[in-house]
Parts: sequence; C-alpha cells; structure tokens
Amino acid sequence: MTCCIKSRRLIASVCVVVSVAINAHPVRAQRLHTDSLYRIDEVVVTGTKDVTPHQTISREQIDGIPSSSVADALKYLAGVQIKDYGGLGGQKTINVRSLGSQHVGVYLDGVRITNAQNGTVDLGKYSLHTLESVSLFNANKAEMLMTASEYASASTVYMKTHRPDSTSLMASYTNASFGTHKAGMTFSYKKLGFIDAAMTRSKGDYPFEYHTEYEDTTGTRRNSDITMFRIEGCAFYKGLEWHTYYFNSRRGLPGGVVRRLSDTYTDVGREWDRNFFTQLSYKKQTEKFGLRGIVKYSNDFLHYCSDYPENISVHADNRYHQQDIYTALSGGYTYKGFGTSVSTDLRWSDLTTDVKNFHYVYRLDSKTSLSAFYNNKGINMNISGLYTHISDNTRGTTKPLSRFTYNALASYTFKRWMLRCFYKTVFRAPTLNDLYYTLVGNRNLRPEYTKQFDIGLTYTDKWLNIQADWYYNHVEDRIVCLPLKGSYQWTMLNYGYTRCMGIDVSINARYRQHSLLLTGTYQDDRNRTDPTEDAYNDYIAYSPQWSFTAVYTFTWKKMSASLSHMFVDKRYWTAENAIEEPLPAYNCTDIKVGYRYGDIGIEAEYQDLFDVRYEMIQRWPMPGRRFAITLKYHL
Amino acid sequence: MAACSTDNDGEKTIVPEPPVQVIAGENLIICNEGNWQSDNGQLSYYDGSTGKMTNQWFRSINGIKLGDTPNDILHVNDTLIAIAVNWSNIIQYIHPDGKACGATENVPNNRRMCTDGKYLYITSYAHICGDRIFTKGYVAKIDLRTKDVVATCETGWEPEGIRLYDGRLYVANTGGYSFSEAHEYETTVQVIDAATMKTLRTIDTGCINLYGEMSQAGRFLCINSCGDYYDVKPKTVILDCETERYHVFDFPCTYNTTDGKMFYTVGSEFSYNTYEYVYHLYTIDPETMSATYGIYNSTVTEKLKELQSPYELYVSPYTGNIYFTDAKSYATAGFIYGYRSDGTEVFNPQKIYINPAHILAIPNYKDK
Repeated sequence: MTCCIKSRRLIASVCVVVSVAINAHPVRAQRLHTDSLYRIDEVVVTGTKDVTPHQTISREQIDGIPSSSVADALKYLAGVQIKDYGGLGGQKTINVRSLGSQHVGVYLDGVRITNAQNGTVDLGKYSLHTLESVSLFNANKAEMLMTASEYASASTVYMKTHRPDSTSLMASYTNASFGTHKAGMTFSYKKLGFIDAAMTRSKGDYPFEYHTEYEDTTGTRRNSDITMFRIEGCAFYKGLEWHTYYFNSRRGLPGGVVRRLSDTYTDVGREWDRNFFTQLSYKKQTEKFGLRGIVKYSNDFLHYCSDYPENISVHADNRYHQQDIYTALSGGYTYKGFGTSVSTDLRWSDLTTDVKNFHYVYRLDSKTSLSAFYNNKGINMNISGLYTHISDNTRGTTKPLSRFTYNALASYTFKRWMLRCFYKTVFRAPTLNDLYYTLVGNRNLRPEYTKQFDIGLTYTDKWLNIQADWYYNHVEDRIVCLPLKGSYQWTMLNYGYTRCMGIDVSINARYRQHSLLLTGTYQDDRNRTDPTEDAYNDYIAYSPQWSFTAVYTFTWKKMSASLSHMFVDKRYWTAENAIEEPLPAYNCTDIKVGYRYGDIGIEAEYQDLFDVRYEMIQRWPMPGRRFAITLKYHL
Repeated sequence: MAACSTDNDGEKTIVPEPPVQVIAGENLIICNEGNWQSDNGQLSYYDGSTGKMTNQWFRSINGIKLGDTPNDILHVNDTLIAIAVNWSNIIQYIHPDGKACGATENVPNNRRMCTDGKYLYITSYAHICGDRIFTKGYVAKIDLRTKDVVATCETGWEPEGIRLYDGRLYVANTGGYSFSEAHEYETTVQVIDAATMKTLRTIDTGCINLYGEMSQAGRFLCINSCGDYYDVKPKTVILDCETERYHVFDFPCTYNTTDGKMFYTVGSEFSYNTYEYVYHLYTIDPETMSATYGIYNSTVTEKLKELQSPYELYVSPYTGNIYFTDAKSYATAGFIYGYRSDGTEVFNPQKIYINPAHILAIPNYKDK
C-alpha cells in the first residue's frame, strides 16, 4: 500500500503516524521545499516491525547537517565512532559499538557495497544529496524479504535513495575553505528517476597546531588535495529499481604529522580511484507472498603511486582492479501472524594487481538464509539462520570457509512502549588482502567473530521517539597485522579478543518547525586477549567512554537553520593505556543557515565553529574551522 | 697518586698523573622505536648505580619529543651519542646525560650508523641528500664537529648495516623495497674507502636481502640474509674483512650481537609457501666458522626461547652482560632482561616502551 497525499500538512501527520505505527522509526521527514507529491515507500505491509535498535537520519536532518558525505551524517548517531584521517580526501570509515569498521555492512537500497580486497567502505565516496535517509541498524533489519547478505554483518548502514517527488533541475555551486570548489547538478523526473552529478576540487592544504608540554608545532598539512567526480542515475518503475554509479577521484595522501626539522623531505603518495556499479532490484509483495531479486555488477580500480623523485620512502606504483557480480533472490510467505522468508545469494569477486608475487584471485561467496517471523498481539519474534560458504581460487592451495551463524530477536509492544532484545553471532571472512597479499597475507587465518546481545526500550509518540539500549558484545580472533616472532616480517594473524559493554540512548523530537536529535553513548570497551599482559583489561585504543551529540534543526518559511554539536571523551591511542597520555576530549560545533528566495537558495555553514584543534587518529590533525557557502538554483 | 721523575738539574718535582680508572658498572640507554607514523619514538635510561629505569628520558630532559621511529643508536665518543630517527629524517645527537646537542637533517630515511670518532657514516634508503641525487641508496659521511654531510657514496638498493674495518666501510645492501619497486633483492656487501668515499669493490655473498643488524667482532662481520620468505631461505653470512672471504650458515641471525669474539644470534625462519616457522638460537665462532646451539648458558637460552617477540640482543662490551628485549604484542610496552655471563640476573625484567629495538651501554668508571 502506498499513500499519495497532496496536502503538505497531511503529509507531515500521516508520515509521523504511519512511520511510528509501522516502523517504530524516528520521526520521518517531509520534503520541506516542495508542495508536491510525497510518496511513502515505508508503508509496505511486511508482516513484521523493525524490532532491532536502529536510528535514522532523515532527509531534513541531512539537509541541516553541514556536510556532504554519509560519514559526516552517521557520526551523530549513538554508538558510532567515525575514523577520519583529516581533510576532504582522507578515508572515512565508521565503527559501530566498537566492533570494528569491517563489521559494518553498508547497503545502498538493500544491496551491499563490498570491497573484497580490504573489506572496508570509504563512506566519503557516497553523497548525502541523493538520499532519502541514512539508517543504522544494530545487528540487522528484521523484515521479510531480506537478502542473505543483509544478515551477514554485525551492524548495517542503510542508505535509501530518494525517489523524486517532482520534475526539477537543480544546480549548485559551493565555495569552501582550503581552496575548495564544488559544483553539482541534479535532474529529477517525477516518480521515475534522477541523474545526479557532482564535481569537487580542493587544494586541501590546511593549517594545524600542536601545543602540548612536549611540543609547540604549527604547520600546514600538505599533499591533501583532491579532485573527484561522481555521477549517478536512478530509475524507478513499479517494483523495479535501477541504480548506476560512477566515481572517479585523484588525491594526495598526506601522512601522519611527525617531528621534522623542516619540510625539505616528503613522503608523497597519490591515489586514483575509479568505482562503478550498476544494480537492478525487483520487489513484489502481495498479501501473502513476497519476492525480491537483485543483480549487481561492480568494477573498482585503485592506483597508488609513490614513485616520485622527492619521495624518501618506498617508490611504489601499483594498480588494483576488482570486479564483483552479485545476484540475490528472496521469497517470503505470510499467513496470519506467521511469516517465513528464505533467501540465497551468490557473489563472485576477483582481484587483479601488479603487486609482485600477488597472483590473480577470485572468490565465490554463497550465502543462504532462512528466517521465521511471528507477530501477534504486540509480540514479535524473529529467528534467522545464515549459512555461508566461501571459496577462493588462486595459485596454491586455499581453504574454503563454511560456517553457520544465527540471530534471534524478540519484542513486545504495549501502547507507546516497546521492549526488545536480540542476540546475534556473525563473522567477517578474511579479505583477499588478509589472505593473499604479498609478504603479509596468511592463508591460515580464521574468520573474526562477533557476538552481540542487546536489550532495549523504545518510546514513541506523536512528537517523540526515545530509544535506550544496553548491549554487550565480544570480538574474537581479531585479524591483525603483527610481526613474526624473531623476524622483521609482518603478517596477518588472528590475535586478540575484546569485549564491549555499552549503553546507547537517542532522542528524536519534532515540534512544529523544530526538530532535535540527541544521542548519548557510554561504552566500556576492553582488551581481553591475554591475562598475563599489562594491557589486559585496558580500554581499546580510540574507544571513548562517553560521547554525546545534538542536532537541532529549525525551519521557518523560507529559512532554515541548524546547529550540531558533538562531544567525544578522551581516547587512549596505545593498547597499553598507562604508557601514553590519551588524546584529549573534544567538542565540535557546526552551524548552517539557509534561505530560499524563489528559484534561488543560499546556504552558509561553519564546521568546527570554535576552531577546536583535535584528532580522531593520533598525529592526523583535523582541519579546524572551515567555512562554506553554497548557491542553489532550482528550476 | 703521583709519579716521580728526575729533572735535568736533579731536583725532584711531583707531576700529577691521571688516576687509573676501572669500570664499575654501566648504565643503559634503550632506543624504543614506538609505532610508525605515531611520532612516539622514545629513549629509556637505566641507571646502573641506583637500579632505576626512566622511560620518556629524552622528553623529560629536553622538553621535546625524539621523533618517529628511531632505528639506530651509536656511542660516538665520551661526549656524544647519535640516534638515527628514521621517519623524522634526522640524526639526533645527545650527550651521555641525555641533553640534545644538535641534529643533522640531510640524510632522510636513514638506517644504520658507524663511526671512527671524527666522522659518522650512515646508510640511507632515500635517493636524495641535500642537492645530491642517487639512483639507488647511499652512505653519507658526517663531520661530527659541524654535523654536516661532507661526502656521500652511492650504494646498492636500500643499504642497511654498515661497519668500519681498517679504513674501509662495509655496507650490506638489501634491496628490501623490491616487493613494490622495480628491482630485485641485493646480494652484495659494498666496500667503500672511508677517507675518499669511493667504492673499492663489491662482494657478492650469493645471499639475498642482507637486512637487519650487523655485528662486528674484530675483522669479522655477522650479516643476516632474510631470504624472500618464499623459496629463498634465510641465511647468516660471516664475512672476514681481512681476506674478504665469507662463510654462509643455513639459519638466519635476525638479531645478532658480539662480545668481540663470538657472535650470538636469534633468528626465525618462515616461509609463505608452507607457513612453517623455525626459531634459531646460535653462537658462532668466526675463527673456526662453527656454530653451536644456544647462547651464553641454559638460563639465557631458555629465557630467549620463552620471549613472546624477541626484539634486540646486546652484549655489553664493558661488562660482558647480555641484555635482550621482548616487544610483546608490538603495541604494548616491551621489557628488557639482563643477565651476567654466569646466568644470574642483572636486574628484574624492566618495563620500557613500545618496540625496544636498540640497547647501548654507557660505562660507569671509578678510580682504582
């Protein structure tokens, strides 16, 4: 069932009611600047509710946050730590509930974005601009017709593409600090699709400062330029959805800031990326039966070069080429309060590179899942099993991997309250780099396991959505790179066991023109590897105990304004906490204002308004205060 | 004490004579590499007379950080110690009391050092030294009065260990970047005239990747060959600088040291083909070119076998004590162990800092 309503006010209230009732979602946003049709896709009868803890950043909040990448939006959610090496070109990954970035599955319209080579997705590559919402689910979504891959990660990030509600052309230009220019254009055709293109160019060099007891350094972070181009198109027709994406970038890779007497010598590296994918999905749902199918092809190219005369270290010049073909099929059957869903998917990925002694490798990854749902009188239960079989083909012998994992969740809804809990165990397979990379890879690696238990409470009413969760998780057999005993050679090994206990709280409130997102995270993330080690029971590096975020958005007539704030507690950066001073806690405030006059819109923003100097990774300083101004033209 | 001498006129004068000093003990400076790109290289200082270990020693004395990845430390003379701080592209000089006294910047990506007391010789993987450009690696000669580079000599790819014998520099070439650069592993020891900084000849050892520490016992050098971790096995090369002939042992000496007569070695043999792993502990007598299992005595040998991640082995030239470090998980503070030749402990294991890679003994003298 799909609702199409013409009145804006009605849209708002229906959105709220529907999403609260069906999805237990944070208050959904309505489009602010159009009075045209709004299509609510979420209102699909699935025979179940989203009972796993999840948080959503809506389109309205996305518009309010002064940022352009998905990573910048996700950092405001509870339980999320962002890893950012600073600058526009620095890699941005997220870590959820301290399970590690490789345990976060990133899904675009339900299709997983993968990187068989290193297992991480650089969220800096995905634009917020075309998205309807970004959601984070701990464990996974619990609905019918999920693909087996959707069950296969410890946390899942869903990026949902926005279906255009009008036919329009929008062009924008942004000028920002550090010599940054962005130009973008979007053509949308009502209900049917859009084409979105953007180009960014930034000199990127930014000043940094360190003032501590042992140093007084000011300098400029060099070689942080980036040029990137992205074009993507989407088409929608009934249950069919087609999405094609192309991204191209070239960038400098600045290193960590270390003691140097001058800038005479550098260790320059540069990177070229090219990512392409095209995916087609189909979904059909009747009262009792459901069917969903996906096909996807992706092609990724990476070129890393440090072969420059001024470089004083390794002069490498390597190219990596990955392809990925993915198909998935899932079917579901619902009868009264019962539902069952089965899904199977198959992924073929390969990696070609000119790295010495690295031989061509391809991987076949098949997954099958079976889920059972029960939903009656406020009680909601779901049990899913996942069978994974992975086999690699390359020179020499390889070990196929097959494992069975499961998760179980249950909830009870009473009026505006929902009590829920889940248990999930899942692993990440060693990546192709982990296993086969020249001089580092180790074919004997075991998968890295996560186990999670969560219990939480949700309160929802017309204006408010409050969630609180307590969780406990383990990561076992961490895959890390360590030198071999008595040699200089580093290799990938299974070493380490961590456990994290935490509480996530998020409050999403909306009243008239005001919206407020507040989150708080407490976590106690400890090393439980070796009781004889001094680092045993120490906090895991870069896991703060406390963090808080707040995003306030205000819209009034043609004006909009938002204020976002983030507090992150001190973080140890050494595995053994006592031997070094932790990175200090920091506060970062962003502000953005916008005004629309006829076809013209103007937005101005400050990130890190108070110019707080902080680091997310030790010796990789963040850029401090930066300004951007954007002009938009709507037709 | 005074010596008596008789002047020409027969009158006796008393001439004071410097007191005869004997070694009463030693202090240790430990060079901790820290983690690459973390700017956390550190020195630890062990005071032999009080038994106190001071970590963050350089920092606490000088109020500045040492830099990123210090990978060699050398006792130049009574007043000067040099530290090659690899990723900071500097050679940092300190007095034995830890006070910084200058730095040389023009040898980026520096590796290992040796000295004749007046000049410092240092290897570098880089292709640049001030305005000098090299295709492969080089050795720089630094005048210790001015701390400036006065001469250079091009070497093979990625030159590592360097030692001085009879006015000649012996440089082990590794070719260690060959996994990503378009060249092969090196097999040569390059002989350079220290006075003119001209290459005299190269000695082809037939063993690839001459990486790591290089100990010197008189005319003999102990050189580690890592192999390629696939089909070419690691080796130990003992080179006689007098005859320039060499002997090859079928085990690696990743960490090696000497008491001036014997070489003591710790090595691991690992193959990516089989993932098999063999750990070696040998004492080599270069005079007879023979190797025997174990180091010093069973206490030291057993302790070395117990270590999680051996990271340095050092015999003090002053006391004959043997010191070695355990880097543990490479991310936590390492430990140092010290034993006398009779197997008794010099001190209880001491906690130092991340990746303790080098040890230097500074003698304590007392009047006889």
